[in-house]
Amino acid sequence: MMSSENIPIAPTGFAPWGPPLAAGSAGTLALLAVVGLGASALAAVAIAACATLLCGWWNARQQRNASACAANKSEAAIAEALRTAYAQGGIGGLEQVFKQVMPLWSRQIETARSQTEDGIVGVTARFAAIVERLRASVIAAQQAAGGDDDSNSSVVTMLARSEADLVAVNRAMGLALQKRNEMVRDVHNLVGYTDDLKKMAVQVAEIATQTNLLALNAAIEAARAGETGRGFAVVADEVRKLSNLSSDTGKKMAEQVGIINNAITGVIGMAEKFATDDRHIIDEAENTIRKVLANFESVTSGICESSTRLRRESDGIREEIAETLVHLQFQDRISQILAHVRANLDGLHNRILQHLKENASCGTAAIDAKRWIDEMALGYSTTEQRLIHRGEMPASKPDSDEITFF
Amino acid sequence: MAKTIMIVDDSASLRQVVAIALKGAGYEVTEACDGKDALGKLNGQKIHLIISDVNMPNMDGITLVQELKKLPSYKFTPVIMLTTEAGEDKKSAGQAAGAKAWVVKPFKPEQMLTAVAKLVLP
Repeated sequence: MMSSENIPIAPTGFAPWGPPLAAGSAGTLALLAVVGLGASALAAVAIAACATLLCGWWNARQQRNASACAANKSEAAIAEALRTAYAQGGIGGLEQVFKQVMPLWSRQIETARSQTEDGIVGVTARFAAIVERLRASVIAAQQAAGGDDDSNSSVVTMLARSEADLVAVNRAMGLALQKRNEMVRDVHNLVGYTDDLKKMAVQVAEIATQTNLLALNAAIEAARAGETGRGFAVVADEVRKLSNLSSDTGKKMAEQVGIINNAITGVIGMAEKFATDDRHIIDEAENTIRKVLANFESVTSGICESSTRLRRESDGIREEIAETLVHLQFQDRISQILAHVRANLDGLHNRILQHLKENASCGTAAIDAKRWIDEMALGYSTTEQRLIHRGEMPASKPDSDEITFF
Repeated sequence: MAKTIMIVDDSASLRQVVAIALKGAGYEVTEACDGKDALGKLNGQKIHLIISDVNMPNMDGITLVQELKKLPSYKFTPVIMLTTEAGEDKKSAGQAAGAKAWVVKPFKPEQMLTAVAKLVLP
């Protein structure tokens, strides 16, 4: 650290205001170049670095003046001689230059800092919007493809549900066909009953014929009995008429049974034809359903594959985002470093104004360089500022794995 | 119901960076630009965690933690200090004020999310 005792009197280059400041300025430039600042920010930092050097020079000069005043007359004479030498060398008006230039440097640093910050805020806002839209797209794609197991609207779930529904419809159609076949079998059994009815009608006709024959014989016997058999002849005649009616009824029954039998046979034939047709239709429907489901499945597997690829890409992008988020935080550090340089520059400017106002050569309180530098160090908020202050080179990127739990 | 985290930082870009990481993990985010702004925005709302910078204008992060400890509704709200400050004296001041963790910028999102998940109120 620089002190009033070891500051050389002769102004030999940058040496009087110390290597730490020179190294610090170079270090600041190197750090910002590494983290990728824009040209305007670098220019601002270059100004800041120059300002730091000039401040050092100013401090050193004031220190030299203070030392001269505090010492004996010969030292005062040397100081006076130096002041004269500076005036003769054309640097006597430097206070005026500082007075006017330092506020400009300060404003330019602040402008560069605020423009950089505004730029980064804009970039980050856009970046946030991109991240949000990407996240929404991935979620939508995952839901559509069935990535979310709870989703009822996913393609995979819909495919499974559609397959189940269509198979159920086909099964219902098969069951209906089976029921109709059972009904046709029952109708077919009726044919056996109609055959029995036909036989019974024939038997009725035969009985009627026999009865008719019996009535005829009875009529013959009644005629032979004469007057006494007349009543019996009437009965025999009525029996013959009834037998004729029975015979007609038997024939009609046989005819009706024949008609019914034909109708049943016709119905059975038609039902069997419909059953065959329906079987073909059901088989075709089943084949069509299988083909549709297969096509659907190939499409959905493509969607699922795309979704998986999208999810994989999304994971990759998420990693990139995490890395970018780390890099975007450098703006905050840079802003703090620049704000500190600007504040220090403003402080020094005020000190110069105070000096000019008092306008005293030996009577002016000299700036205590060590104290000034120490106070400047108190305002540091980053590790790299402290490293630069000690004349060490900071790492190109600060560590980002420091978390302390209390 | 998503948990709400308040980010307190004078750097708008840093607030956005933290918000991106937190929103990506499903948290609701509310923002304030310094300690005073944060106290004004509490409004009795349920805040499950606060992530605060240390060096800020108007009211710094350490003072914010101290002020929160005086509020019955927020005295148990965990605070993570997110700062460029890595010095032990500052850390000790944060711990003494009642902060729960100290994260040095630049942070890695997954590490921040681990710390948040560990400390966020149920």
